[in-house]
Amino acid sequence: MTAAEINELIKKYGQAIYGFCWYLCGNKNDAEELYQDTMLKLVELKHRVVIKSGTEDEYLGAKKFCLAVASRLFKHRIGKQTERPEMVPIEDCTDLSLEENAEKSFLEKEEKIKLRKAVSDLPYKKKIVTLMYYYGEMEIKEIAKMLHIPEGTVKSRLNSAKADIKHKMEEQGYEGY
Amino acid sequence: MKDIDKKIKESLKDAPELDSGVNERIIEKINDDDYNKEKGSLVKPILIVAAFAVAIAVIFFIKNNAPKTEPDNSLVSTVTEEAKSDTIDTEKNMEPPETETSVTPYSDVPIDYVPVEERKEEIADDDDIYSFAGEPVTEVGEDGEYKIYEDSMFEYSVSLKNGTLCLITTKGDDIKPEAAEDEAHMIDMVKSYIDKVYPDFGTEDGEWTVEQEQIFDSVIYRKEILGEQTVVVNFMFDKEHVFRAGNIFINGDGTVVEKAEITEEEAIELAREKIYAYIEGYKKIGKTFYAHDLTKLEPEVKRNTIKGESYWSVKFNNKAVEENPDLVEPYFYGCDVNVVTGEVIHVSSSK
Repeated sequence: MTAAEINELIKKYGQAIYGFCWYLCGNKNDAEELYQDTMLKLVELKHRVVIKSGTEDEYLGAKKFCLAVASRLFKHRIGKQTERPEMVPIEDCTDLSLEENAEKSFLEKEEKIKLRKAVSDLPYKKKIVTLMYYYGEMEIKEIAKMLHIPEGTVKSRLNSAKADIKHKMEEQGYEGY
Repeated sequence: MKDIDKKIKESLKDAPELDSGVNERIIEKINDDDYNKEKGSLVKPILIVAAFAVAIAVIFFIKNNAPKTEPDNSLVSTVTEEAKSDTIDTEKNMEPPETETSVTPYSDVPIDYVPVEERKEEIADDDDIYSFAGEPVTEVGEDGEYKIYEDSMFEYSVSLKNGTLCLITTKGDDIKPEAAEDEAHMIDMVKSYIDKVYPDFGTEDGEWTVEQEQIFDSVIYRKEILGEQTVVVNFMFDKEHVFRAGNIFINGDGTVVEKAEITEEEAIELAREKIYAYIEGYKKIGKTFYAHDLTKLEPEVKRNTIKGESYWSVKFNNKAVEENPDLVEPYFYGCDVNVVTGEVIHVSSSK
């Protein structure tokens, strides 16, 4: 992957990769740092991602590679800390674009925020597969390949994550989970 | 896609915008030739320095260990020449490998690689647990034929007579099982194991139903035993019949530290499951007189020893009969639950 192709990747998917980092970290500062580290790690590993004809699929593959890099860096960062990192609770973040969307009702917004908080509160292993699956729109097979774990493990983590989320939402009185 | 899937997906659509300054800084850095060169050739100087360090160490070693006679200059020069040629070879190998794969799994790329030995502590702190696998061997036991499954750590016997999974013996201290990724991975392996033993358990497409998945929710948990955090695997699974394996207590390094006893309450539940299955079995063959109100069963428990092994003897008194003596059904059911394995034996009832 050349520098020009990395630039193109950033234009196409920079926002999506940053979003992934933001959901992983739960706050802006850490997310920006993780995003930068991810992209700089990509520069180091650029020979591993080959863009042959510049198709959309190739760039999508590169984006998924970046999500895996971000997950790995995030996991590594947590592993280095003796305690879980101090995270800003996700509902406290003021830069949610949710607030800009005036047509959505307050209750819907509230539910979304709670749901996002439930995702954010997942243990990191479950959180990573959940974000890759729902946010990164990766298939179970791809997640397994990228994280180097069996497909069944991805399924188990997803299933368990959903059970956690369901439990948390129902505890707060939300139905339909 | 289910509602929960849609909702989760929907909730993750509103990530905040990335500040344009961040991308600018990154692009600037990426386009910076010096940065690229520095990153691209980082390994090379390290290896060259390492090669020289090795060469110097070899020379010192030879010098220090050489007999105290005339120095053998030819030997030193040979070693130096070899070291030089090593350096040249190493430099040749610095080119990044060509790859046809467009994307390589990132997990193949070591980040601050930590040897497995050093990871042990981390593994022990995590929910890791060990592998289940193995080819079965059929053996004949006291109660008929059993299939014996072995893996690196345990031996399982599955009764061909009634499908009971009997626990499970450990195979000694010299076992070095490969750690599973985590608890979920362990569950996955238990599933594979069950799929292997009961291939008809899974649904047609090989996926487990929510109900089947939930079997594992309540049966794997952490517990402190003898001051150590352990994972308790107590897997139960209902495939028309009910059966349950005993408790296995597995330490962080994969050794079984203790087989804890089944509690009185657990014994009652195990016995109740067995009795229900027993009654259901009779229902199926048309013995309708067993169709009473199962909530009327009241347990009495006492400790018992059978063939040198400890059991909870659980007796369910059928209150429905007490209340209505005309009912034609047993006035009690009884069975014995092994306090270590949870195996339920000797199901009996009054006539």
